[in-house]
Amino acid sequence: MSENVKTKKKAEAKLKYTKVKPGTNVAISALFIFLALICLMPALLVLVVSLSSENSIRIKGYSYVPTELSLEAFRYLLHQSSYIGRAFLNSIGITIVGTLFGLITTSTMGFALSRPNYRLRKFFTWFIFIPMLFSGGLVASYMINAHILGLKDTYWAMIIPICCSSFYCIIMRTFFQTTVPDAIIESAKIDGARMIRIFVQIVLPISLPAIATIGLFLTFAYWNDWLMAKYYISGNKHDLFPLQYVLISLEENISFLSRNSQNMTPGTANSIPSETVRMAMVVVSVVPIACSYPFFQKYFVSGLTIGAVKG
Amino acid sequence: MSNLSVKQKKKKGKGSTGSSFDNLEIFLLHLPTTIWYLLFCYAPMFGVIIAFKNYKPRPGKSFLWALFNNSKWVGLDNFKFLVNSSYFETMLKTTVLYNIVFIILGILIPVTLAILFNEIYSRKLAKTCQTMMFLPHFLSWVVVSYFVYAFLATDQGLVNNLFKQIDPATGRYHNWYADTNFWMYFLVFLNVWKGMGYSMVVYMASISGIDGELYEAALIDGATKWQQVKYITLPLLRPTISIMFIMAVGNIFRSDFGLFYQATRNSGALTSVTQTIDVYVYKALLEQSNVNLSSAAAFLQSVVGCLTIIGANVLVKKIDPEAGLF
Amino acid sequence: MKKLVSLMLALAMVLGLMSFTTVAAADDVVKLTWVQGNSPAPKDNDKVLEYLNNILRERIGVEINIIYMSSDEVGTSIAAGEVYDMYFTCGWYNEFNKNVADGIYANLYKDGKNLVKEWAPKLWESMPESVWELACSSGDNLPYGSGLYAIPVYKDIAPENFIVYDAQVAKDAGIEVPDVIEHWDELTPYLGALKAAMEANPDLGTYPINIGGAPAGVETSFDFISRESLIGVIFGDTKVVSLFDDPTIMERYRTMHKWYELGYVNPDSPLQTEDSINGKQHHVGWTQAWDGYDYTPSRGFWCKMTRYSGPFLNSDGVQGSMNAFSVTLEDDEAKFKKAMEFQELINTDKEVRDILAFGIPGEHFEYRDVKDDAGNVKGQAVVRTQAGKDGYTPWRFSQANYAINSIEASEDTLNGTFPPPDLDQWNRYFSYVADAPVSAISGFTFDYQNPIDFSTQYAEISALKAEYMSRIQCGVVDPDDPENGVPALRAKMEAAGLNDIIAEAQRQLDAYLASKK
Repeated sequence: MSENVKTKKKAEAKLKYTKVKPGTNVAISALFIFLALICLMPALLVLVVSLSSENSIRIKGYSYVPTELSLEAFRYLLHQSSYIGRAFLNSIGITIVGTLFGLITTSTMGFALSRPNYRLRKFFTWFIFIPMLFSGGLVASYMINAHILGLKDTYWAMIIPICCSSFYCIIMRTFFQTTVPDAIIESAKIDGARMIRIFVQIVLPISLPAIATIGLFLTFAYWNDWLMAKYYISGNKHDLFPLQYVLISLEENISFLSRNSQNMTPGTANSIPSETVRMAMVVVSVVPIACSYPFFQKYFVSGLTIGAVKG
Repeated sequence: MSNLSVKQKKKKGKGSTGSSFDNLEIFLLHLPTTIWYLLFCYAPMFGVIIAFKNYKPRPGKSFLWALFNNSKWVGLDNFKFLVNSSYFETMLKTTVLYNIVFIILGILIPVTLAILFNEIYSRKLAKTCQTMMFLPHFLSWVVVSYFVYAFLATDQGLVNNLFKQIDPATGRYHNWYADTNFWMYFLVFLNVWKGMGYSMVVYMASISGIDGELYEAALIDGATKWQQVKYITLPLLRPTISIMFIMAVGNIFRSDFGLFYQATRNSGALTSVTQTIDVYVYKALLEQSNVNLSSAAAFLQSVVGCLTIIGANVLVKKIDPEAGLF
Repeated sequence: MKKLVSLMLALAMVLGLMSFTTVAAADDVVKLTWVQGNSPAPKDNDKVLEYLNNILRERIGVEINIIYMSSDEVGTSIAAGEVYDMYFTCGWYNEFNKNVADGIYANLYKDGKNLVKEWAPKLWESMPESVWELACSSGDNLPYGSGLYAIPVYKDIAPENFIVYDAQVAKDAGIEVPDVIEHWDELTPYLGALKAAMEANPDLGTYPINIGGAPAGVETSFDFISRESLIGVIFGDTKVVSLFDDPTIMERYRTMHKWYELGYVNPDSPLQTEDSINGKQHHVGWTQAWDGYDYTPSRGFWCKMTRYSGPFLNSDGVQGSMNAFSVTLEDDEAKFKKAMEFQELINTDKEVRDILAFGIPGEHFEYRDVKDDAGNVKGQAVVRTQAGKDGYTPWRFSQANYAINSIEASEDTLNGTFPPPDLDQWNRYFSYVADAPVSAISGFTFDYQNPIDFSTQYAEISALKAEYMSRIQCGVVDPDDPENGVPALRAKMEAAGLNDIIAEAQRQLDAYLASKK
């Protein structure tokens, strides 16, 4: 009996320390819901506007309750650029390959810089620090990438030049410093493991949150990039275009057409549903990548929650 | 690196001084990255010379040839357009002051949210909210400017229509896009709103990397939630916070062009609160694509960034010798 | 660190030795490259080029590759030393004057030798000599002195500016808008009627003038020397002044402000762009067009135009769209001649010109008969097929001669829903433009970088314009307002060195005019 009370009390005590008070929980939850709504509402509006008819926008302006729904904008997008499907696949391919490359380059460098005993550590910290601030500029990079390295009009032009970043390397380094204790590596070394094996089999698995974080950043960066395509892919190599570039040039074209109605076939000036098409473009480019977010999220959401602490 | 920290390192790593073999192995591990840096960052680096030249291309000759054989040295002339500008003071003020505010809020808010995030009972709710908070990151500033305009437009904007904001002086609706006081704060809000979800991620990942046993030990000692945060979470987040701080400080002369130019719809009346260095450079070179001047501006931003980073590094190491970048 | 330096030096040497001259094709067909705006290329570009090249090979032994780039891509490409044989160029695309000054383009009129006349006589004859003269550039510091650096596209070369208005409203209100007006203020009664009509029927819109950004062409009739620093001469004069010294322009700003105060102009116009404005509510709009151009089909309501400026013949208008040859062609005369021959063909041959503009006949477009009211065939016009609309719509104004290009029509204009296409518009245009007044400074180019480099001043002025101009142009501020209007802007521009720029421009202009005599 008394023992029962004891364990009960103990459990209560634990609960007291692991969980915030219910009132606090409500307050925090409310705060998060509030923030989530502030962030969700505009995005939701994008979706609704993209599904509204152009006429409804004209009359009511942006509204969550359009007078008339229409798929016109999406139809226009599909119709305008027959290579949009191909571009979609390109973007996925570039994003996956690029993210993998990026993870390899940043994690190896980050790991090297995180080892306190690495003799060249200081040199290489400066080595990656300088390019973070100074760059040779567009023309110099263009000359190297397009002419010396021959990347022009290849998929590699959209992958390699942006696969590494000092910012990511340094974040990686900091993660490794705090989460990979030296002792683990030392003991592995005593067991006779080579550094590369230690890195792949021991360091990476315990650094999944870091890998997921940088992987997420890389994925988004690749998905959203269109500058590389603009400069390194010729205008008539349609089959290499990534999605973002197709959308951006379509957008430019719409504004160009509506500015220069003289050059247009009579009767077409008003047929471009420009406002809704713009929003539809956002939907097309955001939805796929937003769907990938929960996949990454599960790795950097802490396992240290109430349930996780064993009793 | 100060003497003290070196000593500490040595003490910690007793019996494990890296052998030259270890060094070689680590070097080989990051060799591909090193080659990447040489090719894509260092090889084009000669381009910075353009900031001190009056570059003239020559068809059929490479950039490098034209840079050295066809272009005059002009010393620091290319920097004049920034330094001598009547906007120089405004530029410095807006760029640096906003950045200070952004750096402080950019650490305070995501760290707080990342810590609070783990305290929500319902995991599902927490994850869903966090996912939604990421959405603004996907919306480009141009798209954001459409919404802002839908709210703030003078005649059809939601705000003016709901609250009938009428300026007594003119008898017309209030012109929000000329209201510098309002935008001063609103720009800060927009910045926080757009970056919140994104910058939380790094701290969330750091927290999830913390060894669970630490909390268990704290529990046995009867530490309260606040004590756990204060004595475990925050100290272990310190290296990440420090690094994020140092890197943000390096960009103190740079600004988010989209925020200051696109989100404000380039309103001329707001110039005094939106003219950051990048915005000025863009406007100044709108009609002449002058690589010399734009390179000079970038170079200046880099030099200042370099100095402030080194300064921030010293500062951080004074507080925590382990947390610096170098 | 040392290793790094030596590596970079080695790399630098390798790069220095390399150059990227294009290699001429080995066989007897000459391969030419031509840069056009805008990126990306039309979807069916390769297909059309294949079709076109079959014709070109046979006719002149040439194969053309058209590369589509945006303006900053061309800039990067030229800066990096890449070479294409021909370039579309003008003030706002592939900076013509800068590239001429930098020696990127070949001079076609050197040492008294006229390459166009010599190598492509038909091309020379396709345009009046006055047009060629206006296409010339001047300057002591040009690599080869004054000369002709590009072939102008023969199109609406003499700017004429109109205000388009909703004719039904004028008719209903019994207001007669003249075909030509001298002062914008003459339109005030019409705008008042439009405003009243809008109040009675909100479906029409809220503001008679609904514009995104400054109306296009507020400053026409001022003869610009430099749009960047807003200097030029009052048309017909040779004294260099600031734009704000032109009373006509100031009057337009004041009228705009008057209209704004009357509530005729949408309040947020400086914040909008032309495409963020609802096109159907454009009951009043500004445009550069020509007599015979009809906005009715594209606007969807009965439009009429009233002319407020032009036609003027000046270099600014003629140099609005040109095609230049790369200076590297000077080393390969055979290829240069072929490139010239190519330009001659596209500017004089209707079949080739139509392919460039519309694509493959039968696939991308069709020739259709245009009938007059009595049902007699007047001639042919082009109607694009759906495949053409989707697959091949390049910029037409950057290619070649409009006079020989077929007029484009749509089903609606052929079946009588809208007025039939005016097949004669270009002939009429070119005949009346020939008599248009010619600028007193025609052929003059201001070199703002030599001998004095004004880049810094230009940069500051550009930023100042970004702060003040659109509010002044849209009438949101009073142009005479000492704080936000012209006086403030002008004072700051002068502090940035405007007067030095004017003095130097005057010096260069005087020297040019003296040399011309």
